[in-house]
Amino acid sequence: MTVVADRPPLPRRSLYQQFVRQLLVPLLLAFALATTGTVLIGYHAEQSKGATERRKTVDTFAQSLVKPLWDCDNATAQGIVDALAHLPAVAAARLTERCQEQRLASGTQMLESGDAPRYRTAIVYRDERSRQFDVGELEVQFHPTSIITAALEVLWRYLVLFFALLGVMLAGTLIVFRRTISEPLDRFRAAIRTGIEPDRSGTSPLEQEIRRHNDELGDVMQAYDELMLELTKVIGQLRENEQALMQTVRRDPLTGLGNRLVLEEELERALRRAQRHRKPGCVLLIDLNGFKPINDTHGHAAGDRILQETARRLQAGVRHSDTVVRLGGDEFVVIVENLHGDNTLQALIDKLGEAIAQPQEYAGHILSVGASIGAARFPDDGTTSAALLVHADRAMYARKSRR
Amino acid sequence: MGFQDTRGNMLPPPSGRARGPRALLRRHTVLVLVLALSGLPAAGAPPVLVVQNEAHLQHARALVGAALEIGGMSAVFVDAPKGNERRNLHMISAGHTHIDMMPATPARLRLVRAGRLRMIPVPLDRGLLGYRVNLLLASQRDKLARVRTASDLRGFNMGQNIGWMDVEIYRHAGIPTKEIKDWADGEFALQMEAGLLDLFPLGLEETLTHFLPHFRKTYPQLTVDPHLIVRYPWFRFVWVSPKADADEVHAALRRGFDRLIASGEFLRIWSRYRRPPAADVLRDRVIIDIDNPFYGPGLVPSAWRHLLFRPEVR
Repeated sequence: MTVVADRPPLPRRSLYQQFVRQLLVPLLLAFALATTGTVLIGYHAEQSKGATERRKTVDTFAQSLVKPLWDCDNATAQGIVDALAHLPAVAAARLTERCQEQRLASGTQMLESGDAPRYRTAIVYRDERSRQFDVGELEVQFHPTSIITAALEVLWRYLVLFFALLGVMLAGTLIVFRRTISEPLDRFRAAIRTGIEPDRSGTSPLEQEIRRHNDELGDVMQAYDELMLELTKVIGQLRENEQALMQTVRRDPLTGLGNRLVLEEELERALRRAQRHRKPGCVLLIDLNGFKPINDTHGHAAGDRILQETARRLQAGVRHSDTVVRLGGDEFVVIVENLHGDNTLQALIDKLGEAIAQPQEYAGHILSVGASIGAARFPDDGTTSAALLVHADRAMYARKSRR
Repeated sequence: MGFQDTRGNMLPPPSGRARGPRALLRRHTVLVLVLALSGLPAAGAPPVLVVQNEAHLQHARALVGAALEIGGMSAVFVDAPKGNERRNLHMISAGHTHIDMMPATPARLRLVRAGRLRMIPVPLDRGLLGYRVNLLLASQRDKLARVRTASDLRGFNMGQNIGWMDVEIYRHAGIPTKEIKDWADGEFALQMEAGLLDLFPLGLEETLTHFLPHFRKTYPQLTVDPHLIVRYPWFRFVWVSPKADADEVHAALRRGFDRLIASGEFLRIWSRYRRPPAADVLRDRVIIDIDNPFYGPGLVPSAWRHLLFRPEVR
């Protein structure tokens, strides 16, 4: 025996949420790969750029030292060296000047070895005749470039860029998703709820939506539309079958009259109408006399013919609004509404009795039956179909016994 | 036959010994003398001397050239690079410059005493460098009219450039002196107008011929005091590198100046380039002598002291 565990329903998640969630992982992966690559490239670029900038810094300060050194102005030169040493990238600066043969230093102790970048440049004065004079030498030691520093330098830019792109992408995706998926789906849903029946333009809302979307959604809706049409046909067929079945169940196949089910329904309706409109009616229970001998003598076909003709004559004898049913065997019931006065009822009974009694020809024989008719008035004789039928039945047997 | 130095100045014909140019140049110097050397013959050519050359030193340069020639040395002059006094001092004491003609300063005298510089105390400016006139605002043109002594000057604020030797001289005389940073275009006029300075003394000749017209382009409110000349011992001498390759230059100059002065040629050459102050410039001005705390007139050898300009005996 298989036990199917009851799983809790999945929390509802919109298509957009699912789309974004599934997109996020590859996006983060792509970002991580791109960032790693960029950081490595950035580090090398930073190193190269750093070397260029360091060289430029050294050259610039060496240039600014030319004049003070030429003027043997060590105070100014010391100020420039101090300014150089205060640059964030510079660890130490040392100037050897030739005028007074002094060494001007600033910053930390100059390391003679290690991986800290160190630059040395001669400071040369060029006079108006383009003669060159060595006036000093500048040594600068920079802080070493850290890959973490370089990575962070690059990374925060990429993070900003990534989140900006992510935000734009999510917003853009949301807009595009709404336009291309959510809103069409909403319209499809509305169209489905409206139905597939064509409107005044001859096309259904669903068809109109399908025409607007020559894409996968349109294909799905087209398939849905076709399925619905097929389903409609099937349902129509089922209804027809049901109606046919109901007809078969409610009709007497021999005479085409309604059977007991119809009697029950019609009598209930007639009672309600009579109560509502205060117009009385009656139920006539008709039992054929002399039917059995005909059936026994001339066969069931003759009996059937008598019943069919009797049914026709009863229908012909009442109004269209009146109901004639066959209860079974040789019993018929007639429901008459809007009956005015006893004379009218009696006249109807007489009329129907006479109509039934008219001879009939069958296979060269003249056949005739009589009828015992019991009547029950409503609402005077009863307000339920059962009570009325009982009353009519008694009246009918009373008449039959009086014969 | 005469010859030209690298500036095109005519020099007397060469005589005496000549040394190869390479011997005169320090091996470690980065002086690039290719241009100068390329035009000289490789052997028997006159030596190349690096000599100070500035526009106001034409007389000094002519006198040096003449002294070298008469002293027995023929040479080609190459201009020394231009620089301030500290640079000049370094260049000559290090041997990069062979000869310069600068005023005697305490620093130079210290180097001479230390054997790191050689001095030939010939007064190239004839002492006129020590004649100072005052620049002041035209609106205060006569504020020195009643000054007669150095003591009278103590009520005025003088301005001088930072580092000038004159500062110590004036202060030694008790005259309040302020050092300012930029003087070259007459910016001190603004400080005069602000009441921070009263006077800005400069050399007599250079003030009348150059500085005053130059300053008045920017500060027309400046003028020269017509009442006073301050005088102190201040001499422009000839200085020679202490290096061995300048020994012969030094000797030739000593000999040459002796001969030039003795023959009177010194004054004749001087007169071709310079003139004594005009009589009217001196006539109406009171001359106040103050001491130079670093040296006196005795720095000039007595045999050459007669070269000093004395308006009183003119």
